[in-house]
Amino acid sequence: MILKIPDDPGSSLTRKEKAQEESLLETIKKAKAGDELAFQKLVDKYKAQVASIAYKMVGNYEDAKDISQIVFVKTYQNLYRFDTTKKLSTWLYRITINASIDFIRKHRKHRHEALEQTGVEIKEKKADVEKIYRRNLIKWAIKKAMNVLNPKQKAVFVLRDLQGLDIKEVAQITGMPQATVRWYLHRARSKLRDELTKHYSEVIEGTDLKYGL
Amino acid sequence: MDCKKAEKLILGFPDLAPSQKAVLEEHLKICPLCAKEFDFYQNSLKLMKKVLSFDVPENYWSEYERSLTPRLSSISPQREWWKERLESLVQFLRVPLLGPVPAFVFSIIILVFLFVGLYPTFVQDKASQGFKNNLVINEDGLLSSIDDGRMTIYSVGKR
Repeated sequence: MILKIPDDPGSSLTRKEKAQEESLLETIKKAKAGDELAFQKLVDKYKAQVASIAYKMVGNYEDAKDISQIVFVKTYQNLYRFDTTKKLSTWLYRITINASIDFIRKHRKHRHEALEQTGVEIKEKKADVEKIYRRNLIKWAIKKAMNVLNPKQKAVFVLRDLQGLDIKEVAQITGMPQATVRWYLHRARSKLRDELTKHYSEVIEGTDLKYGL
Repeated sequence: MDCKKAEKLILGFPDLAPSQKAVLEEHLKICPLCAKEFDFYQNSLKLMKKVLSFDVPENYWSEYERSLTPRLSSISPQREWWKERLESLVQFLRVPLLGPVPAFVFSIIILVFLFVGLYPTFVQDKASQGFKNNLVINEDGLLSSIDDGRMTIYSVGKR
């Protein structure tokens, strides 16, 4: 059994990282002053991370696209308020989590459990129908299991366990004390484990990660 | 360590200290049930990461840019800044200009009334300081007694 120790997030910055941070700060300042190109640079830098968090929260690419665009519109409107001594990513992730929670609450009653068909999947379908079927089955099971979490539990689980952020940053993003984050995290993991064991253990146990899931 | 404690550690595995991980590992070696649960949860977590990884088709980002650009161009950060300033000014003007004044005036009136009512106690007439049991001692004039029927007035004269 291999026990993987998480990376230490508190390591000191290298010279290259410092230069990158300074360049980012410069871009943020320009964007704050109304430079559209500078803001576009920020969008390019963060769009994948923002959309990824939104996708993990809502489980749908199109909704994730819509949410992440709302995030950038809100950021553009309110950038003049941003305190440049703080991390922009933390601020963006906070807006993303809030927008995703709003979306989940708004669409809770009208949700359909549809399996997504991306272009990549359709192309592969011809090659291996069974593999695609199995992949979709796993996706469905995991998304279904994630639905047992309430929005706050889902937010801390996504940020910590799926996105790999440390507890301190999760606390900053969600605006909760670290102890509360740990509590929500424990509840989320426990509920997920119970749900997966109860309903989807056959699907999970029969899946081998090696076969390109 | 018992299985109940091990269960907690299994769920909190990513956040455990190295010493806790070592304790858990020891327990998993001797408890097949907990080892099975550990494997199941870790496998589930890996699957979740894999299934929910953000692998989008190539055209996703071009479509993304196409729909984001008009959304952004419809707003201007500077305009938003002025809009907010204007809104805060309107908010300020909405507060009745003399709104807080009546309470202030009312307090002053109460204070004036209190002062006027208590004024005599602050500036007592020295001549009546000795007033007690129908007896008045007046400090003007020579010592003499005047009996006006109901009270006796003594006047103490200055020499």
